[in-house]
Amino acid sequence: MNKCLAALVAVPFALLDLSGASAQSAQQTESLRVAQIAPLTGSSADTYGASMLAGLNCVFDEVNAQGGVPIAGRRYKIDYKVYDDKFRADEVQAAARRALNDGYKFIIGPIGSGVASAAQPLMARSDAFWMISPPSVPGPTRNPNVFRPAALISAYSEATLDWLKAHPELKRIALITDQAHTGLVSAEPDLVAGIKALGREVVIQQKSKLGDTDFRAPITEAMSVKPDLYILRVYSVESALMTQQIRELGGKMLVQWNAGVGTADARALVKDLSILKDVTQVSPLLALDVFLTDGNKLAEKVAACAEKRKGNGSFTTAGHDTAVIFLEGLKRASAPTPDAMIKALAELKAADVAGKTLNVYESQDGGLVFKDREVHVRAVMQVWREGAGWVRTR
Amino acid sequence: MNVLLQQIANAAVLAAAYLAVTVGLFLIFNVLHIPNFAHGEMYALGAYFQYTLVVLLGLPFFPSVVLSMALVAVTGYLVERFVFRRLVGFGLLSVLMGSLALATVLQEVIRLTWGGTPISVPLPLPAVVELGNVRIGMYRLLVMGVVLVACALTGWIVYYSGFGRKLRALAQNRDLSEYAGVNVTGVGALTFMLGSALTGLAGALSSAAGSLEPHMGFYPTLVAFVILTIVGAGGRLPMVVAGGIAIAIIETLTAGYISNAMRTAVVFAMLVAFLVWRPDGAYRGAAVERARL
Repeated sequence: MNKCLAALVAVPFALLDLSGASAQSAQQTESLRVAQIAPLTGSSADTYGASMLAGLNCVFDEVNAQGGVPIAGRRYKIDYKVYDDKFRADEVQAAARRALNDGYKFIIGPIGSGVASAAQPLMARSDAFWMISPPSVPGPTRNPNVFRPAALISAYSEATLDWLKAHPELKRIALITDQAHTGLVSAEPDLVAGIKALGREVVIQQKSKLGDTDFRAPITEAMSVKPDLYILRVYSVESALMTQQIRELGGKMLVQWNAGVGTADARALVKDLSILKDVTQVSPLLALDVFLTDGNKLAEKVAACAEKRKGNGSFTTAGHDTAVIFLEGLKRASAPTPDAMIKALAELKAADVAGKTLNVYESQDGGLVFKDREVHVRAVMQVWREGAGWVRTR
Repeated sequence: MNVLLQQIANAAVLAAAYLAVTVGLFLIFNVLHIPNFAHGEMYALGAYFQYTLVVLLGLPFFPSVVLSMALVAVTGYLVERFVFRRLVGFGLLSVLMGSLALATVLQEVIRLTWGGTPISVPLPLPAVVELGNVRIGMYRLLVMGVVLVACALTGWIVYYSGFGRKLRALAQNRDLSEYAGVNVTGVGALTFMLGSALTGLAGALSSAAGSLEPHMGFYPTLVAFVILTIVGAGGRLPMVVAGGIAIAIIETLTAGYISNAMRTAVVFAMLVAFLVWRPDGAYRGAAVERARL
């Protein structure tokens, strides 16, 4: 009797369990949950957040419209949710923790060097797969579950040094570096050593911090040592303000930005565009501008989609290329799990993504995209041209 | 280029920017005793109104400054009428928390209305004046002049006008002034409007000097509180002006001769040291019976 009773009680529970399992299984065959960590509010929301998310989600929505991404013979739609980090180190940990607590195993972001550094301890402790782009700070990818389909911070220095080689007339170099930009801070010693190795003089090294608005004092100090080139290693708003104040104080030296700011954002930031004369920008191509100037058809398609989302800006290219590589990894994964994704990306070939991404991912270690979870993408020196915006320069 | 002279000129530009924000807060903080942490958002509103009028509606810059002032004054009236007037009777903590919450609300209103992307307003006077080896933008010079006039006018209103007499009475003792026939509600509302208008002026003028973003008022307001704290609760307006100039000089010389990264740290370290030395501020008449404005 007791056995019968136990069986009677057990059967509904077993059925319940089976139905739960089958519902779960059905759900998994339909969607792959992806968390995105980016600024939705705060001063960087529209400049960086909107453009990154537009680039990412144009690709994800397109693949969803086609029925999803195939993984081991089944199709999965990308079910994405954005967590707001306000682009602040104190907020990003909370955002990342919320994503992990919500059970996300695939996380794209954070999208800034400072916030990526701040989220690093959570990356190390979690079993989720992380893809960070475009932060260039070293560190996060030391974790085996973190991949970066974006240029390393050294790319900025390499492109600057290549450009300096072609410009021997620039002998005296001044630098100012935002101390919140952990990537640029970490790369400063190598850049300085590289400049000195070219036989040029680093006449002054200055520091600033995110949110500074008055740069007259450091500019005056820098101008007193008469640099030929003033390298502004600061974010976009500060780059615009500094350039305006340099010109106001009579600074006629060449100015170089490291902000990765797109043409449209530069126009919004700087009303008097004449101050951008003789301003160059070194950056991996994170925005679409240069590709559009080159007449790139894929860039035109991405731009059309991003503009509908009001997200054709500084990071649209970064978002697009990140999503493409993310999907190419998933297509080659044996299962929709972080471990399978890690293995697939480690074996992803540069030829697999050629023509699908806007940036060129150079072959590493016999044709691979990733080596130690890092890619090789070159930064590009650009110059501001009236009417056209940022264009490639030599 | 004479570096020291240029740095002093840079300090003068910075002092004008700080004083523009401080003079409005001086009225609200020293008269009404409201620690209005939403002051920075009123400053930001001034800048955004100016952006709307000049860039979006195409109105001339200087008449738009007056309109922006008026719009911020109206906003100030609404804030005083519907927020602070109700909170004042419930202690400092309520006012403090209310103003912090209001700051967040206004920031979000700004973000939802104008977006979070930094934007800018064209400089109306792009010329640069060269005084010997020192260069100052024509617009910066104009702002310095406007701020000096605003300070002088505020001083005249506070110390020499009939309204100022009521205002000083209110600052010294709200209850006694009411018994003496001062319409404390009306004077309070008008003072808040005047303080807001001055802050709107600061914001409108700053719109052409940098980028606009919803949090743009935070740091200037923090400095304004530092100046008012250093001067002390009973400090007079000339002391506030001197305090603003002193902070701008310290900050600029620190940035120019020690390290730009140290500029804020030095100002706040000096604030801590100063308060340890003189907790009442430079003016020691902070006690109610000795308070003067």
